[in-house]
Amino acid sequence: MFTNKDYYHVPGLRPDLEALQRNVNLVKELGLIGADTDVKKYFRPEHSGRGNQAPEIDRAAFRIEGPLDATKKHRIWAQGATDQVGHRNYLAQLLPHMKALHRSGLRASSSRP
Amino acid sequence: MTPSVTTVHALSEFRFSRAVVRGAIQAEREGYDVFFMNHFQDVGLYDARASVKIPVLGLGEANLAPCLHHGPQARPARDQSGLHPTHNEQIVRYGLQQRVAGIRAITANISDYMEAFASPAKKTELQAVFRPRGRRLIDDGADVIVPTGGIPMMLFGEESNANVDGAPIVNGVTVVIKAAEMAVKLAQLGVPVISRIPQSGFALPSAQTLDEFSAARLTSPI
Repeated sequence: MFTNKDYYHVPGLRPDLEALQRNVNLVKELGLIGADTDVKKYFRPEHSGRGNQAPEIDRAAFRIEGPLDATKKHRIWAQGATDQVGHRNYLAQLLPHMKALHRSGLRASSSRP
Repeated sequence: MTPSVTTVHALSEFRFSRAVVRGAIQAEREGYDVFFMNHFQDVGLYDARASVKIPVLGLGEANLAPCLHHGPQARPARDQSGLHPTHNEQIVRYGLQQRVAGIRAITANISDYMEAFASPAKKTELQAVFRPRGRRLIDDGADVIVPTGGIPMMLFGEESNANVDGAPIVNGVTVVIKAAEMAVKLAQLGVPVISRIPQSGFALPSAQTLDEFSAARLTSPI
């Protein structure tokens, strides 16, 4: 079982440029390399998230993280032909049942009295 | 929908179908990820599905096909015989003629059901009506009992492992919600949940088509 306490990577495999920069700085401090290195200069722009278009890596991460992230919310619209007065006994059981099944966001639409 | 549907008739179903399409369009515009109708007849289902990009599901369609996983023969149990033609149309539309052998009506009206949700004694009384129908369906070859509506589903199928002599009674409300969640997740994975090619009947409308539908009103009383 892997947890965040194990060897950790950012969800979605996005590169953590700040952490990488700290590592490179440490290597320079230890004298293994002679010059400062700005890692952002070596990161491919199409992967950096700059500009108006969503970066490819973010689109990929969305597809991976979406179904795996239990806290990610999506909203369901449920429409019935019931009315709130004539079917109130039914709705009193139906609506809690629906909301217990789908906690993150469910709108149940019925008729006005 | 105002006034609400209080009668069993094709006109009422037609009126609700328009509300379904409008609801699906509104749901998409308000940022919902998926729309479903909790109405077994699935009226307006295909029209709504063709109107919006988000997945659109119906209680009937979402239940009839998956129920075949439980057994080779599924039998809808209907509470009002006036809807038999609608259910027969559904069976043909979904290509289930070989799998759904028939439909059987239950003698109960809507007020009986509403009372049963509040009164255990009345619920027991209705179950005494429902179970013999279920046994007859089993004798006719059914393996699964599908109550054809959210109301009988919640009354007869809400309890865990609800069954008639071992044949599951499906609570389709649970099924359609989980089907809706799956549709969202498939879309997030990039799996197409609906074909939009013209011959599918689900090609998306132009902005003009949507505007004309949204603006349409009855201009004079019938």
